[in-house]
Amino acid sequence: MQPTIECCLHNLDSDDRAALAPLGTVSTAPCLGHCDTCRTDSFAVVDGELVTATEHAAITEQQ
Amino acid sequence: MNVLLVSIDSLRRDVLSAYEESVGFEYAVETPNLDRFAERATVFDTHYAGSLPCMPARREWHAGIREFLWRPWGPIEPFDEHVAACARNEGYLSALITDHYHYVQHGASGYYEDYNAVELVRGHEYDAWKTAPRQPDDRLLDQTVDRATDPPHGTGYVNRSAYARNAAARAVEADESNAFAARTFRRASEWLRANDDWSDRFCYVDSFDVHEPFHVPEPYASMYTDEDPRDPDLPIWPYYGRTDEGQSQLSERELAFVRAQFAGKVTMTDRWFGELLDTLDELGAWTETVVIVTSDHGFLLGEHGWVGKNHPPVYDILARTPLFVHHPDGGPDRIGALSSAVDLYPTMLDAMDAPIPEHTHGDSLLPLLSGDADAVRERALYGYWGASVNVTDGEYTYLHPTDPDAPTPCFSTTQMNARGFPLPPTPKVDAEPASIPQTDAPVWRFEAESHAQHDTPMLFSLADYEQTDDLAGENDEIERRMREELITGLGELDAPAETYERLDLNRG
Repeated sequence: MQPTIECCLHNLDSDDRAALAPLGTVSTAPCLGHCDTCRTDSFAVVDGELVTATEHAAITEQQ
Repeated sequence: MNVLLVSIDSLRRDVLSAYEESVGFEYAVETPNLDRFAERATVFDTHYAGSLPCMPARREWHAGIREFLWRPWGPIEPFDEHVAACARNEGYLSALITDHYHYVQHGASGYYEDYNAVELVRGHEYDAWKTAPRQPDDRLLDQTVDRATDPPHGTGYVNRSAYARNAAARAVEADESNAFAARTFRRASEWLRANDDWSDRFCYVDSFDVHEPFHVPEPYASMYTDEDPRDPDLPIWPYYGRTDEGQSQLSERELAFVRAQFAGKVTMTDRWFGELLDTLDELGAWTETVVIVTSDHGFLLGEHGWVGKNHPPVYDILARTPLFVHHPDGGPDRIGALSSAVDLYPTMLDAMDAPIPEHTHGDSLLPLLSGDADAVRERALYGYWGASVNVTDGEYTYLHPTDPDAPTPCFSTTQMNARGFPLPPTPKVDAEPASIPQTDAPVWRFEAESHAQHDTPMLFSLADYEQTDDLAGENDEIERRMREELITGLGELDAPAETYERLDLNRG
């Protein structure tokens, strides 16, 4: 079963989206309520858990 | 003529007995004071939000601008003619009484400076107010915070842990008179009493309640649930999103509890709104005061599989807001004509006998009250910047999606953040000078990604308040007509050319 991957529009671009694609379908939201993380890191919420890294490709590698 | 505007944030109209809708609440939500005001006032049956969410709505009310077609959540612009400044020009004394902390947060400036008096009750939601004690109450943290994402000892922006400290400082649970709505409406009464000898007054009471966190004192916390409202396993501050997946996922038990706490907060807010009505009674103010009561938007509580706002299609639970207007000269019990949030700006100025700026996107509602007009608008556009653009003609709503791959331009004299409004603004190195219809001054134009709230058009009859019967694809004639309404509405507002491109619409 593919994980649920949520991202904030403020936090990723098309390259980041492509980097997360191997994990599954990425849903984007205008704001996920993690504004400080959004300011400082790349992040995704994977199956409800916040995952941060210096870039989105690293998030994919962590999973 | 005095003017009193009261906004109650996130107040869904379907919980009010003045309206006929009731969506899924298995109990009647008690609002005796809003009910008694509705008895005195004219009830607007077909009132719609314009720009969403919180601060975009407030720019519509304060400046009369249908903001979302040009920019998102941001400051008052230099070209805006602020309602309090207009009132001041007419010799009115003005006051803003609020616990709406966004006014003093990144992303929203210029809203309070034009009032003669500003009373701000600090501490709601993420308000950067109390920093002690360093370790907030664990039980309230359990109900409001995921410690992994909002570390209680973190110093970052927009940390949910702030609320636990603020609420403890306000002793919200100890006594309902300490709650934010109580404090806000009490200060409003105090201001009205203390300034009763001023001849012309404009007062805006902006209650952040019913907004989350849905943290309410007793008896309201237990009014609509048999659960222990202080059970650390039960959330009072849901993340926005789908209720069936991701960080916003809620069990049936959790969702029922959230709904009960929302309902409790509605009843609590109503109780303190009632004190304001009592004050107007005491002062004999009804014969010399236009009183307007409304909300900025609703809040989804599991309907359509969503909790919150911003992400989903702009269903009527979010967009079709309550509006009650009392005018000393009277008015009909109910008005079915279409009205829109932006209409409150010229309505208030009209009531003050102040000039109404030509560039406003609103129309005064006073002719509807006096019987001099049967309608003031044929259509109303509403939505979020960079997302779907929606239209209603008072009979149907048509929700038109954006192409998420087509960016949306932001137009502002500032380099505000198009996304991430609570954060410090960052330089927009790609910004270019541009022009917009509201001003001869140049503005910045810069782009950000668009957000697809849905993939295909949606069409609903207003009779279907729950909006469970999507008529798109079933009635081509109505769909085509509403699409034309949208194009006509965009043309009337002289919307940016890029709007047609990202909506894949032919310009009329």
